[in-house]
Amino acid sequence: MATPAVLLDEAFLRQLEVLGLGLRRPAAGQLRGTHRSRRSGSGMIFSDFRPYSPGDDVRHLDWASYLRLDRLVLRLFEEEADLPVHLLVDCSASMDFGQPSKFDHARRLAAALAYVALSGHDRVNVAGFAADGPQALPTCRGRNQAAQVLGFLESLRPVGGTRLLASLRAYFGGARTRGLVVLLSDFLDREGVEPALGLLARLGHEVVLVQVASPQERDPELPEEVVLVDAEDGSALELEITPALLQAYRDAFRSHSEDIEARCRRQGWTYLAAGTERSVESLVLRSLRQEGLLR
Amino acid sequence: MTLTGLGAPLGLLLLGLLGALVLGLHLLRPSPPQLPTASTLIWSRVLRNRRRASRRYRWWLSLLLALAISLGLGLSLGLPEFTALSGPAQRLALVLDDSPSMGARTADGRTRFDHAVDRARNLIEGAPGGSRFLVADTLGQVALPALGGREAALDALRRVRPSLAGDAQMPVLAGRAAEPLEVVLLTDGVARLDAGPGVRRVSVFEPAANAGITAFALRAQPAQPGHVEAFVEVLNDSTLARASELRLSGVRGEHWSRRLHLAPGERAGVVADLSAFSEGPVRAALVGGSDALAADDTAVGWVPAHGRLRVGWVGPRRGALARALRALPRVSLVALGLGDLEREPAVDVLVLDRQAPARAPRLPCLLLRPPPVTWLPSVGGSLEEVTVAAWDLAHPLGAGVGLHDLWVRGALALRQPAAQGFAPFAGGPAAEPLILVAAQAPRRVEFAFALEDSSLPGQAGFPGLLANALEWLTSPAPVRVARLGPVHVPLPGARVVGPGGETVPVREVPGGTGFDALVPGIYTAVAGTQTWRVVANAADARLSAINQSALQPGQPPPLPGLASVRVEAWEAIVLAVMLLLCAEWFSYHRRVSL
Repeated sequence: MATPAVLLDEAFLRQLEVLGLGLRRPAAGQLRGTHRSRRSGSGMIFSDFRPYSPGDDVRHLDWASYLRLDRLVLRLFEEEADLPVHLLVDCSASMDFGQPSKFDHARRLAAALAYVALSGHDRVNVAGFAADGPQALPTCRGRNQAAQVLGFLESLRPVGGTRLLASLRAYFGGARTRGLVVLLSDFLDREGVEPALGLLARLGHEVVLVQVASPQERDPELPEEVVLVDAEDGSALELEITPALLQAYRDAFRSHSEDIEARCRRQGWTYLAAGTERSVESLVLRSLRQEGLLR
Repeated sequence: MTLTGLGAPLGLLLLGLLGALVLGLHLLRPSPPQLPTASTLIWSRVLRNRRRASRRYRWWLSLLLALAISLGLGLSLGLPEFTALSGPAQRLALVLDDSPSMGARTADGRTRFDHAVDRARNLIEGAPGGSRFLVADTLGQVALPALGGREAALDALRRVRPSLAGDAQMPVLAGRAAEPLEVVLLTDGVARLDAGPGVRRVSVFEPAANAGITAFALRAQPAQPGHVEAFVEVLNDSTLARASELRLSGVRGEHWSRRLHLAPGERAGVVADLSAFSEGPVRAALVGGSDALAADDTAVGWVPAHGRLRVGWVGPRRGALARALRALPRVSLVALGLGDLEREPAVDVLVLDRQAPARAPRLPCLLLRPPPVTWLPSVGGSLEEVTVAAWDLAHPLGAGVGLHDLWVRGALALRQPAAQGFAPFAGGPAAEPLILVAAQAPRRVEFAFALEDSSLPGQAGFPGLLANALEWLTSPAPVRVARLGPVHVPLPGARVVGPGGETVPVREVPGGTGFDALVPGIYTAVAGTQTWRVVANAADARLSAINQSALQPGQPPPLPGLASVRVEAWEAIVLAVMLLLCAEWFSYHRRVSL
């Protein structure tokens, strides 16, 4: 597992500072920010007219229309709101696998996205979740809270099993403003990922699924006879490895990833296959920009 | 089922131990290595979709295969016998008669012995699986030390051949096997074998026409110097009269022959004058007519020296020695003086009575009480009133001669005879040398006493001793006539050469060398400077009488066929084990077994 000091280096942080989060839908933030929102307000971008009602801000009256039409007409502007960003990191024991470990990879990705969001004055919610429920950091905003976020991420430890549905329910059980949900996980949940993704779809967030996988997981090299011990529940599986069995495993793993990606595409979500063989810098600066999440 | 290769308790113990060993090894099988993985979720999905034998089932299958293989191997080592499948196994002792008459050819051109081997082979191959065999013969050529398997028995059969040497007798089978044996004697019934009760006799007898030489002897006639005659006895052991020719051939191309008309069962004696034959080997052969046994158709002999023997005599003209020499039939006595010896006289041997030249003559010499000379043993005084206490019985000088009552009134006390190459032939009570012999050419015989000073002239064996001495002095090698079989020559450490020039295996026997004369002919035994010749013949009326059987003619054996090919239980088990090994290999690589 990586030490906190190496989660993000200085040069990478400088590169992240010029990036911002890109949304496909208007933001629903309550505070003033840099993202377009559905609300009309005191923004800079004109959106519409409407008849004046008592109590409206008279500073937005369109006096030219009054002189021409002899009616009070109010000019409306799009309000620029901030973006609630929910960075959810899978902290199950299965993430502590591979070289480098999937957990470190996920934490660095989360840290990078959090830094971008904080730099854009978005509200950042970071949580690590495992079988015993989510472990969340209070909402942070502003670059000056980056150290707090990074410290929180560094404090997370992979332990226990994966229970995506229960963890999401617990996390979103309280009032959460709709925003961007970035879920970083290996999606190896014995209860299945479908219920959890269904829940996310119902909540109406804009979702980015980052599937973290290691090459050793996708294409394992195993002796002829082996007992595989599950990192999450300690269960053992004795296998006689044959080329056919290995190929079947590779196919199943690929199918597992493709199912998740297909579900993402159906929902209009963003999917990112974050193999640990690829650097976090490459994933952030290239893949996420290509997906439109960063701009 | 019984185990024939091992005792039942031992066999069962072995099988039990093998089973326990296999089970123990199976339980000790190392478990596969444990490797941590992120999640077995995907693996579980994969395995759920693949047909997979239960691990317990696979473990049991693997154990059963290993047990079957190991127990099969153990069982095959125990040479199992399945009585229910093949019938009770036999403990068969096959005794082959390999006496000379078994070499007689039958009407089909094969020998009686060949038929006996066929019968024995049929008995072996036709025996039930698990049967054990013991093969022996009547001449002791081959004998399995204990009960053996089919292949060992067949191999033993291949090593037995009829032999002319030795006396056939029933081998002792008691004690060779713990279990009772069924003894089968395969014989033509000619050799009188004391088989005893309970022995099943299988006859391979078939009457055959045979004529053979049953005796062959040569002798010189003392009454007629230079005359040698041979006596040949011929037997016609056939049911029909036959005409044959008897031929005798000498070493220098001399020959003699006579046509013989022999009635059935007739035994004819023939005397042949071989005076014209040179000294040396002579061969007698019976030629003509169909003959079942070739071994008795030839015989060899040795024509003795029969020409005049010129003896140079130096000594008093009268006396016992001169009289005795003149009485010997082949001797021509030539009187010589000591001075004549310088000119190399034309004689074969010298007799020096109380005289000796200063220089050693180049001829063989018989010396009686010689004066001291350098080439003879030194004289260290004299002996008085001694008797001969011992003499060398094996030496040709003593052949047919006894010196029990010989006493000597006065003799030379000879010292260190070995320094001059002499060895004592006869000595006194204190081993004083009285008669010495020197075998190096030219040979010498020295009497330490004069005849007049001893009782030798009055001894019955005196002429014989004198003749032996002259014969030994002039003949390069003595000849011994023997029957085929064990022969002994009085030459310790001798090397023996057979009739074909081959070296014959020898064995040390007390006082000489023994060897087996297996084929008729002349054998030569050589030890240092001494040589013996042995004339060995098979000539024997019992050998040629091949139809004097106590049994009825036997039925020809059935031809061996496919039915005689029998697979032993252990072979079948080994085959099954190999198949199981293949199954194990296949199932392992198919992940059906562990």
